[in-house]
Amino acid sequence: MTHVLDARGLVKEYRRGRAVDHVDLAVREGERVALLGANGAGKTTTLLMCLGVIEPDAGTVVICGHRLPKGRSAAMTHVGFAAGYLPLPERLRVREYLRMYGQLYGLGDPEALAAKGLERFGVGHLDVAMGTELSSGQKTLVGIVKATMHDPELLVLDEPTASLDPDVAWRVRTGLTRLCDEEGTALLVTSHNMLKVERIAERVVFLAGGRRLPAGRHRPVARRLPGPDRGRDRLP
Amino acid sequence: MVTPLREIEFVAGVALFGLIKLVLGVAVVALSALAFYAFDVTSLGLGLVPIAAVLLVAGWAVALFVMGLVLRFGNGAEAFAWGIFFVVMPLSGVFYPLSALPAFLRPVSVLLPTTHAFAAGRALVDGRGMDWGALGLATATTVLVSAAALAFLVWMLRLFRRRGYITRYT
Repeated sequence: MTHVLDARGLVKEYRRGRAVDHVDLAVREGERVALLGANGAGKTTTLLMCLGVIEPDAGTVVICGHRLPKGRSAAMTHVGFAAGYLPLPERLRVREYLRMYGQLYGLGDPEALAAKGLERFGVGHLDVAMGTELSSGQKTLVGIVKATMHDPELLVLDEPTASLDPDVAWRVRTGLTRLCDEEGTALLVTSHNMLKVERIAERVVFLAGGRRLPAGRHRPVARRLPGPDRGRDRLP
Repeated sequence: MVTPLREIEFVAGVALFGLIKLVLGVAVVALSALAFYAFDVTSLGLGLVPIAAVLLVAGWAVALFVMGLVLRFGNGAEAFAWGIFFVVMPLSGVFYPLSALPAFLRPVSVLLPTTHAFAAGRALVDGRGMDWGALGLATATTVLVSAAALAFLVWMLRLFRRRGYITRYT
């Protein structure tokens, strides 16, 4: 089985210190991986380096056989990304926004795929809504639809359910699980909440202080993260 | 940034969109001047067209430069979008002749496309006909300034990635 994401030795240093310290991260085809850690552990920086949004100070990233940064444009055709902090344009309707992204991904019929995506996540009624009319949960859902429209091999989500109420969070998890099962999409999701991660991930990678914790060293960190039965051995 | 869109495609799209907005904005202003002040921009003849085109492109280049500043320094740099013209206009001899400028600033004026565009415009308004020399200098400096602004924007985009400035918004 090949890797859709193979990141090795990632390092990122900011003025405030080293945010990511020699992190390796690999995701196989169809695998669901969670990147878990407390706030400031380096999850988002690691993720953004894997996506080519931040240039690593050291290390390599290969996505579906395309090595970044030179192959970034080709690599991104295989990737979908969504995060709660990504803004929606205020003066576009949801269907216009999704059509624009569909065109960026070179889709033949972006309107039909946008409609299908909105239905998959139970928000088909939002297609004519303006960006300013959406709640934060609805924006998150639309962002996930945008990220999944082009059937990416790898779906990357940064704290996808952080600001969602339980009903919407359930809808997101259900939609994502179904998508991964039906389309064989690999998933990389970050979170600081163990309970949310357990319900969707097959494998968990722990980050603390910018470093990846080896297997077996995660329990002290896991105990400090929110979620019941934090230290149990069910997690790999 | 997480799409197949290349940096140069993004810059080209932003530049083209900016130019279209600029042309539309100027068209509205010209029509308003006609409607409210009976000032017909075409009354000076077709000579005004190349001068206006040079000024439009120069303004667009300044906008690209400001975009680069926003990428580097954050949203606070947007203030330069307006503030920069308060520096460029006096240096271009719009309000008073260039000879009134301190000697060390005159070489800066020579490099500005607005200096030569306004000189050509003044010649036209004064009935001296088109100053082709000034227009030529305006065109040449506009090309240089536009190329520099585009290069600056691409550089700032690369710096944005290298220094991880996206984390300002996460």
